[in-house]
Amino acid sequence: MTGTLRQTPETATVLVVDDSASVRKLVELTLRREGFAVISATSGIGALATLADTQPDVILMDVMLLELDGFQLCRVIRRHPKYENTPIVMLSGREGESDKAAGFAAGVDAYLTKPFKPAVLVDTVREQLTAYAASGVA
Amino acid sequence: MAELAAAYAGNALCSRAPITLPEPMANRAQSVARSVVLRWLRGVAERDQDGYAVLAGNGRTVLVLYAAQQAAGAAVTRGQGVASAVEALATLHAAEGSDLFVMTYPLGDDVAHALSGLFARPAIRELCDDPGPQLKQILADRLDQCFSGAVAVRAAGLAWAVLLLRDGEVIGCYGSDDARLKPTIEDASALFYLDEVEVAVYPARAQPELAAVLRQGDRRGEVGERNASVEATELGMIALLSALESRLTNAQRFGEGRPEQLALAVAESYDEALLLTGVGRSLLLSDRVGHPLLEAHWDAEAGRVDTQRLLETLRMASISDAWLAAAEALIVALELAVEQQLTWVSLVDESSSNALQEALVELLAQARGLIRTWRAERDSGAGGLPALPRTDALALSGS
Repeated sequence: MTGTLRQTPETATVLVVDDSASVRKLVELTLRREGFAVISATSGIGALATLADTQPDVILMDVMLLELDGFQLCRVIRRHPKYENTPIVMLSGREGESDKAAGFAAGVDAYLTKPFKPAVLVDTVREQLTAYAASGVA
Repeated sequence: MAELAAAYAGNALCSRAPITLPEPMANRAQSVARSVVLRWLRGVAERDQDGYAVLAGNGRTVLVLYAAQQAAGAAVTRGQGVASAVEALATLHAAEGSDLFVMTYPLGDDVAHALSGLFARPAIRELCDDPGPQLKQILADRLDQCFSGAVAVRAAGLAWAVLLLRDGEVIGCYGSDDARLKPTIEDASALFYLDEVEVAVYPARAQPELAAVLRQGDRRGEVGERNASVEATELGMIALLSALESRLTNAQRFGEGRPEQLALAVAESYDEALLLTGVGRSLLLSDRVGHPLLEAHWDAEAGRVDTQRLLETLRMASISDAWLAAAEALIVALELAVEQQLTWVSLVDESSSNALQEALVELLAQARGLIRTWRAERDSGAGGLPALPRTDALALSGS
């Protein structure tokens, strides 16, 4: 990771899904200070409601969510044609290999563990956006 | 008119408050670490341009007026006085003690400049026994002279008013009836009809020596360096609070050793908060927390709690309640340490500072919520310590 923050401000919109208000605030601050637009949801159901109205460029989600966990949410999102290729980054406190495997099986593109480092989070989101753009799907 | 021979006693409009300024709505109310207070004041003056700050702490209240981004007046309005305004400002950060509680008040263009004269001896002080014509004459003279400054009128009782002028034009008035600044001189006009009033004329004045104190209070971190330093602190704070969130979640899942894990979690975050000072700043000294457990493990030389020694003591005691008490005290120490960092961040990025502050408040509420819950479990005799809801859920429910 290069950690070259604030050198290439983005205009992408990131949906942050986390039931912890403090984590949402920290992630939002990290992304906003780099120029990303951020919308947030506190639950899996809330995220689906947001996705019905808005199309983010990247989705960043926790695993432990109320009502619908991150793996389930990811599968539901991937079934929707509009979001089958949208980059999904999982940000979770579960760092076991089996958890990561479950995440990738559900359709996530990158798996980060908490606590997060701001530079790593930003670089990962940027990498996913770049890969998405390069794939020609965007 | 009779010239008063009374010795100068500041702007004696109100004996209990030598300097009385207009009272607009405050635009800031917060605590500021003494070590950064001059730098903070400079940032406020640059942002607000004209206004004043009231700084209180350790039994002393200091008033600092800034006009056109420069310090234009300073005075101790409560507590032990100092020899000069420069000293009042210069000693703000030098004195030992807790954070200062600060409120700031914005003022309109030229108002602060007109008020600056109130911080010095009046140029004229007269007793008017026929206030109507005499006051009018004094004001007419000021208008003719294109006077800028303040004219204070005080009646024998408690009634008083201050008229502010810029280049011979009245730009505002406030008084004992209403301390808010108004563009008319109605507040003063009632005094014109009394039998006797005292009038004092305070020309506006620049105070280069005072402005220099604010400019030179701390030369560390001028624009480029400061921004890089603050940015590093901001990123460090995000990582620190993210780590605290993970530690709290883990402590909650830890089973019987949860109180110990919680104390360790907070202690680690406290140590990290103090380490964040290494980016172009002097060492951040932790505030003392008046808790016997922390006092007994206070490292006076380093100016901080010696967490390693504290944790060793707790491990020897191996008492669950002691771990909880330590966690509770360390939460306060952590809060103070982080707030010092946030004060630093707020110098250049108030919105980031606010977001971090909100995250901090939520995380500490989670930590305190865990302590309350575990104590309640202990008191109710729930030996098995049943599984608790997630810390996140606690925060969402507002507990």
